[in-house]
Amino acid sequence: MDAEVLGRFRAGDEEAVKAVYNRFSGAVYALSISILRDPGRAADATQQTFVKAWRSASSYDPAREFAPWIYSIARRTAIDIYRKESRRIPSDKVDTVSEGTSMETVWEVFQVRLAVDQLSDEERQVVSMSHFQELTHPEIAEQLDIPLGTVKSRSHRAHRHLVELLGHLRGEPE
Amino acid sequence: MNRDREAEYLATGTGDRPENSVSLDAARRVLSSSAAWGVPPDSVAVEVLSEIRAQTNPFREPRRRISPMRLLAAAMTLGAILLVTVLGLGSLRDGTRVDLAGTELLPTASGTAWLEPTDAGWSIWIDLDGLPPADDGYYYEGWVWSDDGDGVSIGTFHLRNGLERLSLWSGVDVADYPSIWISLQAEGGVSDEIVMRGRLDPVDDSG
Repeated sequence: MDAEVLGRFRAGDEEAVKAVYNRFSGAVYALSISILRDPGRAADATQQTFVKAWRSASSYDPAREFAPWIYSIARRTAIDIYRKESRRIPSDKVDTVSEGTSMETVWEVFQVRLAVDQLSDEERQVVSMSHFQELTHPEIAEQLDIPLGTVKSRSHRAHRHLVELLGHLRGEPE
Repeated sequence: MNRDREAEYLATGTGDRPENSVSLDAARRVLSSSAAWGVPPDSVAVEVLSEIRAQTNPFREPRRRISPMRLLAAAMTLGAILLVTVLGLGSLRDGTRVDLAGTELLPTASGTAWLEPTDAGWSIWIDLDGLPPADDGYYYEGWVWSDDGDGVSIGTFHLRNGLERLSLWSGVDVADYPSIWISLQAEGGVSDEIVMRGRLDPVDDSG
């Protein structure tokens, strides 16, 4: 994320807020889904996260990375929503409530989603079809109506790009 | 070469296990889940911007702007009696000081707030210069404001009977609400225009 954009985000500039949202909303939503297991509540958590981030922007240190900072806000927000919702659920139903996901996994979800959002549309499409839809390369070639060789090369390029983007996959930030 | 092997492992989960296979296995799990691919509804972005706009200007439904001519006339009428009352500040000078300045609506206004913690909350004394009495149907309201965009009223006043040192109260910790604003409000209306503002500036008594 451009330092100039982050500086303007700190100042509450609307265009900068949009830029930050466009870059991080997918990862924040993915994180929220992994904790809350509900698209509606994840959408609420995403909204609250960005408003909180904007409110707290003056506390953001531009010398540090932005992703772990907004990750912390998003995680706290989703957990708060999860806890509030859990209190409303009758105790005899509590066993049916998701225990949530480990924080390590949540961090991985956030990081992977950030990486996926940096792929080109073509790369993202083939990775999604391969992993999420569990299609083989010939099936992808058929669906996209492109040669099998093109799918293979595109898939390799996409996964190599992902490996580079995930090269910094580290432990969860403090 | 390693990158190619890692890319192959990430794509298929087979072949020679690279050193970072644990991370790549985790990434494969995420890529096969809906979390990696879901998109928040468009309404989320709209709501975020809407909420930020609203909080950028909490007095977002102005009913009436203060007429500069009306302010000027009132200020001339009051003349010197609008000078700051600074007598008897006593121990309050040992408290926390906030300098207040007029906004673009009332640039000639100025003032000083003295904040002191008490058992009941924060006692806030404000001495003002250049703030005219509010017209009938209007009043002033003091606020403390947090950096998170939350405002708490600390009292209302009109100044129609001459200027006195204002005594206001805050039930929230001013350390968490470090900005002080004074707004002009319409009776029975919504929040109106900010006419003065300042930010917590502790007095250094060491000297």
